[in-house]
Amino acid sequence: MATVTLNHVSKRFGEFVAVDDFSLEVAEGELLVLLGPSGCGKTTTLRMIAGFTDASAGAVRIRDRDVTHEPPYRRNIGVVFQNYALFPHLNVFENVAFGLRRRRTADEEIARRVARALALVKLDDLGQRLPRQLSGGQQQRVAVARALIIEPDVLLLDEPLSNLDAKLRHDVRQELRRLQQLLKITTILVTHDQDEAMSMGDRLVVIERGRIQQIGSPQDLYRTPRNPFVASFIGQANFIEGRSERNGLLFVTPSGLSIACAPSDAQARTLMIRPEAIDLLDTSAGDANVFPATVEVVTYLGSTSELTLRLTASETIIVTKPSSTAVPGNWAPGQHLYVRIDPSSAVGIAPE
Amino acid sequence: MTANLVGVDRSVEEAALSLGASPLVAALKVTLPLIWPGIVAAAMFSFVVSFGNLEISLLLVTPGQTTLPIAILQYLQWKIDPTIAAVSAIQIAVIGTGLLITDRFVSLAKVVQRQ
Repeated sequence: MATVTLNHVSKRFGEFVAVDDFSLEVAEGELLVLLGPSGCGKTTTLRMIAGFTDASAGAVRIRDRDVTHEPPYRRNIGVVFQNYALFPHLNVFENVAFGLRRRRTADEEIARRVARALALVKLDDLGQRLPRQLSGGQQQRVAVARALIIEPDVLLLDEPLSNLDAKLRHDVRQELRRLQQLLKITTILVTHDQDEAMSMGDRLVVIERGRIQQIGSPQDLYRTPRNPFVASFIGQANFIEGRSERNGLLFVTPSGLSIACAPSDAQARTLMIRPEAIDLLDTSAGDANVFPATVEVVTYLGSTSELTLRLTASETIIVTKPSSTAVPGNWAPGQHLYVRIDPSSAVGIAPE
Repeated sequence: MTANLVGVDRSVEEAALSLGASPLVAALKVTLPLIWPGIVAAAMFSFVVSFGNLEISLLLVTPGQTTLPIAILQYLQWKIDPTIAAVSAIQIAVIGTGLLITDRFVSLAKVVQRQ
């Protein structure tokens, strides 16, 4: 049973359509990620689910209830804001207890449940501190405890990691995912960070300019993106222009390359190849799907190295290789070699 | 006052709403405590300014009522003795005490800092 359902939801600000006809379902216990560049409508969508913004059209359902016209305080939701939005005049204990006090819970039960919530986010000893006496990471955990304690039907996370530094972000990401799976709480996460989306989401909704581009598991989106936007937003991708032949099994470019590809749409005009799905060979060795190439640029990135290879006068591709195989001097600009493209990871994409 | 209102983050009120507080409860439990220092400070400064005001008060007073600055002015027109100095000293003490008491309840340092 779906916990949250959006049924043809739209939001217009005057002439501007921020959210254009969204329909999606979030299953019980699922972590759904709304992913897209800034200004794509993902936060507006979250705000409509929370009830902070009214939908211009369509319906929002939480469990069996149509909440489209319900105010936020009757929706039973937990929200973690980008800036945490802790109550600065209340200590940590009262911040976390706020939702229970509104529900007129008895004092002893509040004390017990706040203690449990603070233990869950590993802040047991800090109940008496004020928010400004905490670090960013601690404030974020208070915000999570405050949202979880009311046992919401759905937890809404609005870019919860964007105010943390890079190293902490990685830990908090794991921690949030652990909590979410432990409590089996239905969660909607908004982010513009594809790593965050891939590592946390059960399913991803890719949004651009107010429209849903594709919904699917991280694997689905990575392997079979429906359009070039999704392909380039989820991971890196090479795009080669041309047309499909032999019912989508061969992709031919104007420059004369014929690349065997995964069964694709016969209308495909773009071939997508992931940079890590390309092998580099010293000789052509008579293999299928092997093309001569010239190294143009070698970029060392730590664990991997990135090579820009020229296939023809009009086509270059980027290839990433683990740095262990990329000993300096192994590849150098101007070097001639051969690339082998695995047909199963070359996917033709049809224009919209 | 304006500086204080601008300093309050809208999402804090939204957080209160999401936790089950009606708009009235959110205003009383969250917004009001946050803007309270601003309200008190604004009231305090308004009082000090109008208390020391002479020109407008001269225009507005009705016969039989008078404000301290007017009384001082009238007194000074006829006599020169240390009474005025004593009155001024008491005034400073009264206002100083007022500020100290206010500071006990709302931190004025915080208000001034924000501005």
